[in-house]
Amino acid sequence: MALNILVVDDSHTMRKFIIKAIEASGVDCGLIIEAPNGREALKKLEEHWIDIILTDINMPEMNGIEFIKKIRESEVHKKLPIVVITTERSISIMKEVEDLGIEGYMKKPFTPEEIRKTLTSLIGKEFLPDQ
Amino acid sequence: MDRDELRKWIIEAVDNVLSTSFFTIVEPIIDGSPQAIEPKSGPIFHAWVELTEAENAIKIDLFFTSPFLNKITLDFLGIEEGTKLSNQDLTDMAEEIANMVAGEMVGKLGEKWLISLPTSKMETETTIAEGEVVICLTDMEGDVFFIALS
Repeated sequence: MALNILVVDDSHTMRKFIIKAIEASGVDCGLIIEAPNGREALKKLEEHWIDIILTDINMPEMNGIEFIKKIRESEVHKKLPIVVITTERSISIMKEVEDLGIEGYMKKPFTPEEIRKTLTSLIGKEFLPDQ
Repeated sequence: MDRDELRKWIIEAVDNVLSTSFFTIVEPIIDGSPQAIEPKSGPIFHAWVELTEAENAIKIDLFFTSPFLNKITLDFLGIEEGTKLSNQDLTDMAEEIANMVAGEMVGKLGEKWLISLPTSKMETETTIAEGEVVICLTDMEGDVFFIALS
């Protein structure tokens, strides 16, 4: 099953980097959709079937915490696996993120190999069946 | 806050960001001076971010020459050498580097520090205020860029 992935980051160069890393990871990908903040990402979720979300935390308009809260409150999307990719190190903020329920966390800067490992570690779990 | 320690940490932070994601090794130039930042080919890309904790605040300014930033952005995105990127791509990259450097600094300063959203602009001339901790770094090919802490 090809995975549709939503990449949320306010930096378009970072989104390009993440997308290249996903494409090079060997994971069977369908659509890779981009959004520059949580608000736009919520719109993309209404337009496309998404299997996994990779999101930044510090973003303008709607940050990653508000975005994840909206997803967890949604009947339709609440079980979507979410991986956070961020520079954030604040204990209180990261505790808040973890309490919302995320499946992975990657610290920037990161290598493409870390993206591959993170994605492949999720496949086969209940929310992402074997490809 | 000890300025020598801050200087050491910011060099380590920049080094980690550039070596991990940009495949670029940098080292400080002992006699580097802000004069070297005067644009020789294209504008300077200036990105900055603030770290705050209670009453304390640190501003990190990064100043990139256009050729250096173009080169490391091409490396970051895996784009063919010699490709000319847009100024929008370059300002965006400068902000993201500032953001990642700030994250590394929080790892050193302590996890109570908060990071602002990064900002950037292109400048045709750059003035670094006296009293700031200024570090000049160079890569293997001799391109330089500056960091200021205030």
